[in-house]
Amino acid sequence: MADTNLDNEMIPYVEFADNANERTPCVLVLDCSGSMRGEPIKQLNAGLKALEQELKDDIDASSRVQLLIIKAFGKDEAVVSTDWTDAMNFEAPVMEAGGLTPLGKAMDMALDKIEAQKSLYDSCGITSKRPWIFLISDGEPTDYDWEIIAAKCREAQNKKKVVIHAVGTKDANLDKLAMFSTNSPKRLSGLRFTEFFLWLSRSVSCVSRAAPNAPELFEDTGDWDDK
Amino acid sequence: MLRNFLRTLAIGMTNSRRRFKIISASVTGLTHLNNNLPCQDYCRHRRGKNLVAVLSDGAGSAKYGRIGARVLCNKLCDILADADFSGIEDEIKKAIETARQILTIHRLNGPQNETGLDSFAATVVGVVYNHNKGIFFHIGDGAALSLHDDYFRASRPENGCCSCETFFFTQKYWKSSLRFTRFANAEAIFLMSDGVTSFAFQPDFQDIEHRFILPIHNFLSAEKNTLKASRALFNTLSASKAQHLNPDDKTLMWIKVS
Repeated sequence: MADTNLDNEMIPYVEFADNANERTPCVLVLDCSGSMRGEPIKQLNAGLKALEQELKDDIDASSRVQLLIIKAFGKDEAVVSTDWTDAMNFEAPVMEAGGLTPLGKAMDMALDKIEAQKSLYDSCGITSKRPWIFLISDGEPTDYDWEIIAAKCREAQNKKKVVIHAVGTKDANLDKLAMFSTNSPKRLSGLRFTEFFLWLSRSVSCVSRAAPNAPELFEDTGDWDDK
Repeated sequence: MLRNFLRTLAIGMTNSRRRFKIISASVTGLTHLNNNLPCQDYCRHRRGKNLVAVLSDGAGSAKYGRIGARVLCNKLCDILADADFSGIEDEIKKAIETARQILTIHRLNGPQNETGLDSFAATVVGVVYNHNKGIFFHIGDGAALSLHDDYFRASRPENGCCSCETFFFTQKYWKSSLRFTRFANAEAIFLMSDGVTSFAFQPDFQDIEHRFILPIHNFLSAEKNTLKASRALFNTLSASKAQHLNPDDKTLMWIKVS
């Protein structure tokens, strides 16, 4: 009698880590301060989960997009919540809210991590698109030297090392978030994190497939922001 | 899947010194599937005084690359199975030269001379194992790997000036591209074509990709049903993710030494 599982059985736990594809690095800097407690953090986590599924379902993005998530929280702490991972292996972390909003520290870490990753790409002969950083906050930075870091971010963007976008929820101080980027910040409509992350997934997928030096695709934000 | 083919080489072989368990699978890559072409990889093994296993990848650009790969694998296995291991490097060179001579007068070789060998172009990676000593021989891309308790030895791919260029046994100066790597006391040996190397090694080839190599090694070591083992290997190499990431033909031969 034939084994009914024979035709479909695969070797478990095998991972395919082909690193030959051009990568599009994408960093999410997430404000997980105390004010995100409750529904906001719940919606943020739901959005991250949607991002995971959407990227994994996109056969191009899953192998080309790399994600890094940095969490700003606690007593001015910035930690890597998810280190560089291909989208196909990305598992959405469950974020918890508490503490302050050290966005400067977190953005500085994002710039450092991008430089290190670009060096790794170079050493491996992998080409890459310009990295993205998305700064998402419901408030404003609380670390003392955030303005210095914000200037550093704008300088990096002016030198075309990185593309930075700031997204704030209803009560976020967009004027301060705007100082981290040369692009205008966007206001999230309500708590539409899921819509935002689905847009992000589609956008980063488009960029990962785009020809070199293709224009950036940030104008059509769909229905997640207050126009 | 019908256009894919599975070559199952699952066998337990013993002599007074070593026992080998060998599983292999070949999967036609998307590039060839989309062009209605067969897998250009070929692999074979044979046991005499030595264990010989050879994997050859016919060049996609060569009209008869698949035939070149098959002739080379068969001739190397036949000659090297009982070759004197103390002079094995010379024996390997002679065996490759013999395969070249066969193809020089092959009926599909139009000019019936060495200039016609280009249409049979193929890479080759193989192993000869005798008692507790082994040697990899290698021209071009693909890779070989021997696992030991806490380290590995590898014969890494060699490409030309561009990553898409490699070397073939049919080239005039093939001897300058032939590389040897010696090792001893292997626990397991892997031979793989270029469709698999990017999964098996880190990008800089300085380390193996543990998340790929070890699950395969552990599964094949534990699975007593060799048909089931080879089918699972075939299914794994056929996974849509693997096919999408690397559209080349994929052949992996695994040899457990005990």
